Parts: sequence; C-alpha cells; structure tokens
Amino acid sequence: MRKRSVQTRVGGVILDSPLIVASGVWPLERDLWPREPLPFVGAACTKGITLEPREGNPGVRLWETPAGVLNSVGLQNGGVRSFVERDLPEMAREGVPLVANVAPLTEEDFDPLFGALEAGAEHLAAVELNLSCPNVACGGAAWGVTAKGVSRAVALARSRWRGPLWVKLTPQAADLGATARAAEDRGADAVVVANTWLGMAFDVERHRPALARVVGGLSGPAIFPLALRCVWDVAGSVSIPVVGCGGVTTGNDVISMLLAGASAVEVGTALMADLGAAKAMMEAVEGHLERFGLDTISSLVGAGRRA
Amino acid sequence: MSRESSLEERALVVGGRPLIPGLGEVILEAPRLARELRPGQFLMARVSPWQDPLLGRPLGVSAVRGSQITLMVAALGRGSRALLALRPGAEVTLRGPLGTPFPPPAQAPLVLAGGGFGVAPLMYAWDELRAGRGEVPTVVLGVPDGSWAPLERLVAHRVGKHLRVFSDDGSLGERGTPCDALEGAGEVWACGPPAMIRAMARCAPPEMRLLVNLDQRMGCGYGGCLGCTVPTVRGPVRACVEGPFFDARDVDWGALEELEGRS
Repeated sequence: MRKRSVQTRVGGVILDSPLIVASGVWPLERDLWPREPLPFVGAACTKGITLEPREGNPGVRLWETPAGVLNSVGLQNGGVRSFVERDLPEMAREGVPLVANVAPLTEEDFDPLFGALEAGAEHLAAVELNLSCPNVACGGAAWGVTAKGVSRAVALARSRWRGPLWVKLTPQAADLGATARAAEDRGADAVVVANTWLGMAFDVERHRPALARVVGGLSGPAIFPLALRCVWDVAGSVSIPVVGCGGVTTGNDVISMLLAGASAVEVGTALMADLGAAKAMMEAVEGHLERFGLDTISSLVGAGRRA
Repeated sequence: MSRESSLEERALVVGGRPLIPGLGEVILEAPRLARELRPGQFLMARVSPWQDPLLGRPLGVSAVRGSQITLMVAALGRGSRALLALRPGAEVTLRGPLGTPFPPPAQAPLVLAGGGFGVAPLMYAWDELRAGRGEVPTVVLGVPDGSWAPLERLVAHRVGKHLRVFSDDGSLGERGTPCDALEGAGEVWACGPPAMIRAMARCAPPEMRLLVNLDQRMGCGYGGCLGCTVPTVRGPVRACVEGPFFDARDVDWGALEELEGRS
C-alpha cells in the first residue's frame, strides 16, 4: 500500500499509485513477474487478449531505435478462454489490480470475447479496449483511426461489459480529440492516450525493412513529447479521466503527464529497459509533492492547464 | 508467486581484458547472480543510465568464481562497445538469471561446441560438469582463422586436453568446423553464429540430442514482451524463458531461416 498522497482515481478504479504497467511488457504467467516494480504500481495491464489463440507475427519482432524500440509482436496470446481459466486467477493472487487489455479483431469477436471475460470479472479492476494495436493487418488498427470506428467498437464493448471500461486510443487517428469524444459519448469510463506510433527501420546489412511487416509500433522515451501533446489535446476535449501512455520513463515525465491532464500514466518500455524505473519514478513524484508542499497528486492533475 | 528474488542488481566492474579486436572479457562483482546462475542461463547488461541505447544486451557468462562473474563481450553494436569500454570501478545494471538451465546430459559422450565467442556459456557449463560426478565433456572451438588464437589460448587454459580446435582455413587446430566433431558424440550443446548452428542441425543424426543456442534480439528478458520468440514445431517460443538453448528437433528451421533473413 502506497501513501494516500499518491492515490488516484481512473474511471471507477481507485489506484494506490498513478503508475500502471502498460500492456505488452508483463508476462501472463505470474511466476515470471519481476518483483521490483510491483510495490510501486497501482495496476497492471495484461498482454493484449484476443478471442482465439494467436501465434503473433513472423520475423524479427523487436528493433532498437534511438531512445526507443520498434515492435511487431502481433498480439501473440493463448486466447481469452485460456487467459480466464489459467492465467487470470493466478495473476489475481498477487494483489495488484488487473486491467485486461482486450483486442477484438472483428465485430463478431465482441460477444464471445466479453462473454468469456465475464467469467473472470471478479479478478478485473477494468477492461482496456485496445483500439490501437498497429500490428494486426486487419481489424485492430481500423477501430481507432476514425471516430466512427471508435463509436462502433465502444458501443459494442459497453453493451457487453458493465465494469469499468477504459478505451486505449491510437495516435494514428487523424483527429485524436474526435476519437476520444466518440469513446466518451459511447460510455467509456476513461481513455488511454495513446499507444505506439507507426514507424520503420531498415536492416542495412540486408537492404530490407528490419520488420517483416515493414512497419511496427514505436515506443520508449523517443515518443514521450508526442504522447504528452496527445494527452494535452485530449484532456481538453473530454471530461472523463485520461491515462497518459507513451514513453513515460522518469518522474518528470509522470509529473508532466499529470500537469497536462492525465489522472494516471502507463509505463511499458521503461520497465523493459529498467525494472527499477517504477521505484525511481515514484520517489521523484513524492519528492516533487514535498518540495511544492502538495498533499496529493490529484492537485497536479490538469494543474498545468490553468492560466 | 512472482519471482522469489529481485531480477536486477548493480554490479561493479572489477577487471577485464581484450582478447582480440572487438572481443573481450569483463569481470564483475555480482554476488546474487554468482549464487543464482546456472549453466545455460544468461543475463542482460545495461551500461548507460541514459535513455540511449535503451535496452540491456543479452550476454553469456563464461565463468563464475566466488562472487564474481565473467562475461565475454563481442563488440556488435553500441551497447556491447560501451560494455567493453568499461574500466574497473564502473557500474553496470545486470538482469538475471534469465532463461532455462541446461538439462542434465542424457546421452554420453557430451560435446560442447562453440563457434567463436559462442564458446563462452559452454566454458561455464564445462566448469560445472567437471565439478560433477559425470564424464568430463569435450569442448570444441570453431574459429575462422589463426587470428583467434588468443581465444583458443583462453579456452585451452581452462579445459586443457579436453579441447579440440577447428579453423576454416586450418591455420589454427584442425581444418574444419565444429560439425566435424559430431561423429561419436551422443549429445551436443552448441552456441555460435547462425550459420554454424544451422550447419550443426543439418549434420546431426536424428538420434542425437543437439541443444542449440538461438538467442534473438531481446527486449525484456523476463518473458513479457514476446519479442525474442523462436519458431518451433509448437509455435513461437521465447528465447528468454524457455531458451536460449533449444532441442534442434523442436525448431522450425525454415521459419527461422526466414527470420534471420538468409533464405
């Protein structure tokens, strides 16, 4: 249990820390969980869960870039039934609030996907609807790029999931504010802003794109200023809570996201690089509160927006 | 339960030496890792406290002595060059132990086949096997040419008469490759460049247990990101958790060749 001063509230969920493990970096098997970040995070998002098992993408899946990583993993997972029956009950025993990141690939997926998830609802603090995974050639990427696609997906999810529903948007949308408003209009409890940016790299030794699917999702400190700008824009467009996500690596990044209007932040690549990052970030945040004589982090949320 | 102990520790560089251009040893004081590591496992090292290069680099351990571990580092890119440039007193963040240890040898005689600096984790395995009750395995070192003599001397100093050396041009040891040492072996553990590993898999008889190191570009090292998967007959499997050594009979070699871009 963290200090009361760093508690935050995101779409019906009270978190003991504003740090949330972002989807994609935490194993589904609890016995593989590194223990270092756990005392410092308020929740953990699961790997992206699809209706059916998926083998993910072939070829090179990771490529380091300046202060960042390109990935093309392609939602490798054992499917929702295996998640609910095998992984989730064991994960829940750790006591860290869990957020299931779910990725419906077609409209027909929603019913059975959420139906199966319902059986594990007691273990879930929230569902994070992944409308942004850029790795799936059909489906996943399409939902989040237009307000219409977001409306449809969130409406489908909302009618099947009564618990807290967070919607993870994609920065590939031409008008991110519009997609965020669409999520809010259809009943999302929070929006997660944003996800990886599409990028690419060449393997110059082979004269070929480094990733088999040519493009991949860029994460890491390289994208932080881009993500911060997205949070700034979206926090001005919706009244539901915003979770900042993208390149958050240091305490100052966390504070910047809160000042821009985020109620919490997700941290992914920073943990891949450094398992001590969560502790360092929270120590910096607590130090900041003390220096500014602030009682709670909620006094920072959106504070940077006021004239 | 989450993992029982921490996965990261700060380690102090206490020594090291260059072997040949672009290859050297780094010795670190790392008590927890020295205690917990088992042969076949690896670790990741991160030098920079800055954000670039961002990720740790997977490395093989060539020796564990008391509270110290020895890494063999090849200068492949920015991260490994930074590691090689470290001087005593520098600090490095180490993540590990990662991966699955070698299983007990099943089919004698056992041969440990290393290509170039791929011999590193096999030297550590050899130490532990020699200390055990079983037969002392043969170490096979394959190198391109005589310019690798300093590595050959290092391995010879450790394993003595149990070493066989092959070079492509015959200028060091016998002319040939580690494949030439497969005959008569019951079981082989191999670590080296992709071309050597594929050649070993091709020339190994089907009844032989051949364990091959197939480490990939690695992200987290603890099984979360699924960035390092190896194509197997059972689908993609993580090099960082179930690997880095795989039974060659389980590997989907066609898909692996595509992944490595040499098809």
